[in-house]
Amino acid sequence: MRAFLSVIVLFAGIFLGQQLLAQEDVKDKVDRSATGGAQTLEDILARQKGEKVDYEFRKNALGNVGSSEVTSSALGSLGLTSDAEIFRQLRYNKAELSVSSKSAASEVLVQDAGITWLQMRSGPLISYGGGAMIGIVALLALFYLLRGKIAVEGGPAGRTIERFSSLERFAHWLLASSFILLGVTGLITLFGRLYIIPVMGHEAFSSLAIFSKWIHNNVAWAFIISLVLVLVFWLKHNLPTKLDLVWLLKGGGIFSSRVHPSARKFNAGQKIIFWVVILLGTSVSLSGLSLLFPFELPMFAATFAKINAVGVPGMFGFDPLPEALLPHQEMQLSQIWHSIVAFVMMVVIIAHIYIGSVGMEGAYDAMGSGHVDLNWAKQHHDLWAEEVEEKNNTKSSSEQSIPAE
Amino acid sequence: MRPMFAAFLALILISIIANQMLNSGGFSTQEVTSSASVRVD
Repeated sequence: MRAFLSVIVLFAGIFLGQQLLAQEDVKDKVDRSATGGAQTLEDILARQKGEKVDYEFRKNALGNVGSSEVTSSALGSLGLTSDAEIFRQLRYNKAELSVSSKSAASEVLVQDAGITWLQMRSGPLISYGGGAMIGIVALLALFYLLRGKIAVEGGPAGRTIERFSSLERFAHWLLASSFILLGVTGLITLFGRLYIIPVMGHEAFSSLAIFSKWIHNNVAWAFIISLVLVLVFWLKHNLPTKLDLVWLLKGGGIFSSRVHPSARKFNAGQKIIFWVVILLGTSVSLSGLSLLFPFELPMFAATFAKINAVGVPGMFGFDPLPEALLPHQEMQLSQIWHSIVAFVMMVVIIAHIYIGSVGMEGAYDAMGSGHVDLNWAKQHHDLWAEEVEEKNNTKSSSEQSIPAE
Repeated sequence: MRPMFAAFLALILISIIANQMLNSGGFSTQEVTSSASVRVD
């Protein structure tokens, strides 16, 4: 059924993409001779109706780039280029400029993509991102009402085994605390203008925003360090196995108190969280570094070039992604991508926090004291519990066999 | 609980050290190469 739906969605995407491309073709054929190549009444009416208008034709109406110098004398004309053409040269970053600050970003005086970024940031990003967070909290609350706290069957054994070492717990809490601080300060930055300023005013929010920025910029390094630590400690335990498929097919046993699919140190659910944190954490760190050092680490044009080379947009009927981006566009895309990835991570981590605290009896002990009840271990990680018990038995028997001196 | 508090302490230390290093190093070429009389943002 899922495969069938996927095929339908794929074909629908290709069909819509082709429709869009067909519309583009029609727009390219608009006769602009009456306006000397400028926009037509049809363009204006279409814009007023809220329809998408292709302004590509403007990019070609740039006059004589670089020939705007005085042609005859001090009172002569400014060459063969009109003011409108000079403005378009500036707008499309084609003008020959000389600036005192030697950086690629300072040579961009006008850039169109800014308004698209602003609309995306203050519109869909906030509504979909915020909606996803509210949605996962509501979903977990509903799950809690229906399923309740997942109990240790038969009650605690009263005997514990070590689940995580001190170093593992240190890395986890460094990652967790830095992520929560980054998440909260990121939300303050993103939602501040719309939701916090109306409540606390500009001056109070200014202090809060400056404090949030300090936290966000500097705590990020603890997040990156802990990400590396967690990867080193847990990579070998999180490689996918056939066991994970069985675990996933049984829904991890979280929907029924009688089903307990086998698992080693980490079950498939935990492995998914691990890889989400590692892969998206790396991505959010890279886009964060790009934002932290403005215009120094552009990544999107190069990434788009690689995606185009593989032919991904073409597979879905889309035009190739832009490979020539202005420095400001790189920053805008970094900000949007940084936020989208962060929202996905926050949604996943909220679910992780739920299952590690109020959602499951005995789960918090794994990261709290580092020791878990034996019955809890057998219920959720039976194969790992057997391994640990075997090791403990071997250790204790070898200790007993050492002759007293 | 000790690893948790050690992690919180490490987080504070890393943040303070990062702030000192970034402020002394500068965040961008533009910032480092421009004088105080040039507005860069």
